[in-house]
Amino acid sequence: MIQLKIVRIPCCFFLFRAFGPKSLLFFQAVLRRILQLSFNKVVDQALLVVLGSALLFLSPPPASAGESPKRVLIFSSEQQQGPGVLIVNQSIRSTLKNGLPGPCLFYYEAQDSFRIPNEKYEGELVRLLQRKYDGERFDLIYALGTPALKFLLKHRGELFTDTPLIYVVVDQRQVANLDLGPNVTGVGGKMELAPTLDIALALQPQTQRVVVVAGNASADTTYLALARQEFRPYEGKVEFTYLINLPIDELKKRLAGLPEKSVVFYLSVNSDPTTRIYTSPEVLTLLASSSSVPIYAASQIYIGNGTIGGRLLNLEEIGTRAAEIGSRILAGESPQNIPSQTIPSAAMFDWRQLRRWGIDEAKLPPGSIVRFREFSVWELYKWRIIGAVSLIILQAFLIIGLLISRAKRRKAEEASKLSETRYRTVVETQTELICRYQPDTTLTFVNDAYCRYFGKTSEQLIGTKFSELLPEYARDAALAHIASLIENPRREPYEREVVLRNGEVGWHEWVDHVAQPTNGDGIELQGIGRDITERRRAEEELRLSERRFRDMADSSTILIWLADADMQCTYFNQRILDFTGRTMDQLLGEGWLEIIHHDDVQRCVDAYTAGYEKREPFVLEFRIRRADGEFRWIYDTGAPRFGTNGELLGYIGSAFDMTDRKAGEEAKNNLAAIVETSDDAILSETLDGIIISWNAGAEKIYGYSANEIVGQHVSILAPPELKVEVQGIVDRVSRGEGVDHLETQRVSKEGMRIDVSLTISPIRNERGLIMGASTIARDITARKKAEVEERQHRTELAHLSRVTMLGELSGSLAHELNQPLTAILSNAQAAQRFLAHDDVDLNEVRDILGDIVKQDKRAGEVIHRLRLLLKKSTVEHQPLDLNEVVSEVLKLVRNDLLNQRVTGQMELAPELPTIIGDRVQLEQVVLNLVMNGCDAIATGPAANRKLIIRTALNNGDGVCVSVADQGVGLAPDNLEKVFEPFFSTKPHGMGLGLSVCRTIIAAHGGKLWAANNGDRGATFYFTIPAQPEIRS
Amino acid sequence: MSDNSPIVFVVDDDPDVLKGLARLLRSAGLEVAAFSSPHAFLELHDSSAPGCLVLDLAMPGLNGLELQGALKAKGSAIPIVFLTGRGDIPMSVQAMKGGALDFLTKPVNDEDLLRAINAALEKDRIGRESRSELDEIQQRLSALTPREREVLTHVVSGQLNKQIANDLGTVEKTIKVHRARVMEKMKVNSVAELVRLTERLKTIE
Repeated sequence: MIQLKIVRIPCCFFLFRAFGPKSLLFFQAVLRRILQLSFNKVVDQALLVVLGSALLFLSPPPASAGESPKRVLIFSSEQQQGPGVLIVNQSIRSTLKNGLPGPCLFYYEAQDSFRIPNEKYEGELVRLLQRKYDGERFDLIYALGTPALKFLLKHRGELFTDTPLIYVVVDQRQVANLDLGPNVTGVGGKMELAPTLDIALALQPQTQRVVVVAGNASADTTYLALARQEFRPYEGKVEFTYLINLPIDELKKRLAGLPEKSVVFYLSVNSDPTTRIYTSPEVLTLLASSSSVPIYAASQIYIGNGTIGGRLLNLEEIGTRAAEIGSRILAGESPQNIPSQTIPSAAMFDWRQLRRWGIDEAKLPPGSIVRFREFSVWELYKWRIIGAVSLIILQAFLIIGLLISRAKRRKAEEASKLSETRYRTVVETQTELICRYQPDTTLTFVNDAYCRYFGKTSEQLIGTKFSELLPEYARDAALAHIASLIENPRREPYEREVVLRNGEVGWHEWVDHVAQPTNGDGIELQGIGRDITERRRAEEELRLSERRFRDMADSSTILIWLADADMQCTYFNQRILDFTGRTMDQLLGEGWLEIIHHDDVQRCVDAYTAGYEKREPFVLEFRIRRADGEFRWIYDTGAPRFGTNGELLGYIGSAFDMTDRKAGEEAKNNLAAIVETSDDAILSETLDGIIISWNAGAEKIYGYSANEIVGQHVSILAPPELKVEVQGIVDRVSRGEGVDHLETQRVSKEGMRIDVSLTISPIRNERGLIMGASTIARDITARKKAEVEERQHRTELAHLSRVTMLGELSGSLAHELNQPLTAILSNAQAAQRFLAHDDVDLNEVRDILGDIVKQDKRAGEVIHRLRLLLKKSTVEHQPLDLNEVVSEVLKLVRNDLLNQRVTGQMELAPELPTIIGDRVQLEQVVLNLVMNGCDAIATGPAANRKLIIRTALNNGDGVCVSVADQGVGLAPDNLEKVFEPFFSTKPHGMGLGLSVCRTIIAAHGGKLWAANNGDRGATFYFTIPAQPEIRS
Repeated sequence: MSDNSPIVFVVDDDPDVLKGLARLLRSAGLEVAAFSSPHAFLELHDSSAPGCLVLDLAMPGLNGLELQGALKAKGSAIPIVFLTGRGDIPMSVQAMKGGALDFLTKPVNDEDLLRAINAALEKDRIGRESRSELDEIQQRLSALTPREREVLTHVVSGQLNKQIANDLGTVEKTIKVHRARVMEKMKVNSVAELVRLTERLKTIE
């Protein structure tokens, strides 16, 4: 790539000169296409060859021979074939060569100190080098490796004293303690193992065990020490096994038998207990094939030898940087002014190993370098074609450029010395069609390619008009073009149709220009052309395909966009433009972000960026301002587009306005939330009674969790005797009828009875078909209990009130009972006396006995009536005649009225409707009102001692009972207060009577109230509806 | 039924009780007249006829106490035995003050009732007897001339003839004549007897 960029500028420059701005644009386009394919080595290399040759050809002539070459000594600790040296050496040499304006001579010296310790002959070595390079002057020395650097520094006084020295070491730390002295700078890497381990654990997160492999040589132990130190923090997370100094065969076996979830960390093996000697990368090669798990390493020297890679010591980069420093020094800069550099390691992987271990490239750390990528036959084939086509195009231009350039230069240098033969050779060897012709298209020259193309000999062609080779409709245009060329000489490609040998119409591209006529007179034109039928067809196809895409995209109701690999949007379909009311230009690049809702922008950008980083599809939900200014919710999906090599081309996205759906969703969510948070049980069931949904309320009330109950029959909730009811409800729902507030019982999971109020409605689908039933059940156990308690309370209160009242009545009641008892006693004693007479009148005795029986019954009735009133009975509702109730009460109080000198007058309406009620309670009410009435008039004058008890029809269907007195009436304030509990106007009253009466009447669905009479006294009224809604 | 045999009147608004009571009294050999309405009884009542009244206290219209008052107003001295359903002290006090002979609580035992009735009848009889003796004395007294009545008054006060003559401004002799006439008209033989008679009159008045 770097080289490509370097050649680009002169090339363009040249093209600009040769063909003018238009061709430059075209060339740039081609180049851009090619650059996109940069990973394709074939193309790269092919391009390099072409461009390189072009460059050589076009570059200015070499500098004058007088400039002396630069002399560079590479002094290495290791022999030249050492794995690390190989890379660094190569890197230095190639970079330096390319970077220097002039020639450069390289010398190489190796200590080989790893294999042969050179302390014992160090003196000789110094002398040897002194002798060897006596009289040679170096411009620059590279010291490769610490031993070499130490050696050179040690003998700086004797050897290469003033020569600038650049050291190149594996780890910058190695030189930290050295006294470098002047004129020395250098480059070092950073040997580190933990980053590679991090990568290994990231790529294989399951890893439990790390097997560290190392040898026993001095270099190996250095790494081993480093490993033990750097791996210490990981010891809790993974288990480390160190395989040190094992024979290679043994190592192979051990690595082959490693279980899953292990990785191998290959440090370095420069020793083998057996006699066989291998370099460390060679050992790795031997081990790699048999290892059952991936092998990670920390240096570039192992890449290609079976390691999957890791964060590797980047030797290539170290070499390049060393060379760059070298160029600066050779250019005259002082080493002191150039600080030493530390080159970070680089994430580098072996594509084949990634494949082997099935590791996804996308998981690699960003910026990873992947080596040894291979391509499928198809991929190779496809790009060869594309590459070849590109090459042909490029070549054509280059050749044209070359010709013109040469022609111009020759003209300038040697005027008209162009050799006809040479020119012809050049022309004849081209595959391009070359011809010369007169303005009327009469050919005066054609090359072989031209002849071959049209399948004719040059003799057949020369003298004919090439316009005849064109379709008739294209001839005039061709002639017009020629005319315009003559009038306005220029070089530009011109495409025209041509009849091919098979009779079809093809396309040619010609670059014609007015040329020097070969025979010296008239105007002649020369053209270089080639068949572009395929290209035209491809272009046509592309245009069509693009057109189709745009038609499709623009007519789509979906919002469609495209973005390139740099996250810039490159296209928006018409629908987006219409929707947003923006122009394409406004939206392009990152313009679209401007109309995204402020609150959503960051989220959008994050998701968008994350998608790009992972190269994965993404989904965005955001609000965008519509043309009318309203923000609409957009559901946007982006999918990555990849090139054939797997490189990211960009994203294609489609989106739609989901506002309405979102609103629907929200409504749905709200409803769901209501259902979920409801205290009522909300469940749904199929028409077969199978429960299909179950909310938290249901769980709380019934005790079943949704998991337990969904799928069960709903009758599981009903007590045994109510299973029938459940079926009835299901039947009702099937008929489309609902159930409203049905109070019934259900059973919880624990078997507890629960009083529930059920509201059940059919669930219909969109077509109105009944699909099931929804049930809302409210737990009314507590309410029911309260109701029962209230009823009991009311009954007790009523009873208490009755007992109190009867206490007040006791004298009267005693009288009521005394009457028959008196009659009985008298009769019985009379009988006794009669029987004592001599002549017993049996008829008399019989009469007496009859009367006794009658009076006994009468007494029994009184007692019965009393007992009824005193009984703490439960409420019994039965059909009642209120006239009867009133009469009964008056019988009871008759004596009391007598005692109080009160007249009770009954005015009973005939044919009253029957009401439903509790006899005892209603009698109690009447009794209460009558007794109150008595009390009201007890102290009044005799004329006013009268109570009128009336019954009457109320509103046509109910009964109204009133008790009117002639007392002093009630204070207006007390008309209502008298019904309040514990309100009493009587000195000893409990004040419960009327409040109890009101509750009783209310329970019968009626009303009880008081009103003052017009003249004097007050009247109490109560009504009972004929069809009362009895509150139980 | 002879004219002078006493009659027990029974008044009770409850016909069954009335019937039972009447039957009991008859079984005891008493003459009974039963009334279920106090008004009816009041209308027909003859205070000269001997007898007594058994009266229920609680009745509509005219209750026992009211009837008692009405009878008294009519000059009837008929003894009354009250019957009541309950022991109502204020009412019984009022009844007794009004001259009730007894106050019995229903249901009443035959012996208690008969004892009360007999007592009532005895009282009636005695009342009647004492009422006829006084009538005799009254008649005798009414035969006296005013001068004789003056002399009588002085005689019973224990004065001598001479004193009386002095008081009346006459002579002893005249007094003696008057005195003899008084003794004759009053059908007494001694002054002591005359004093007893006049004492009887005093007790009644």
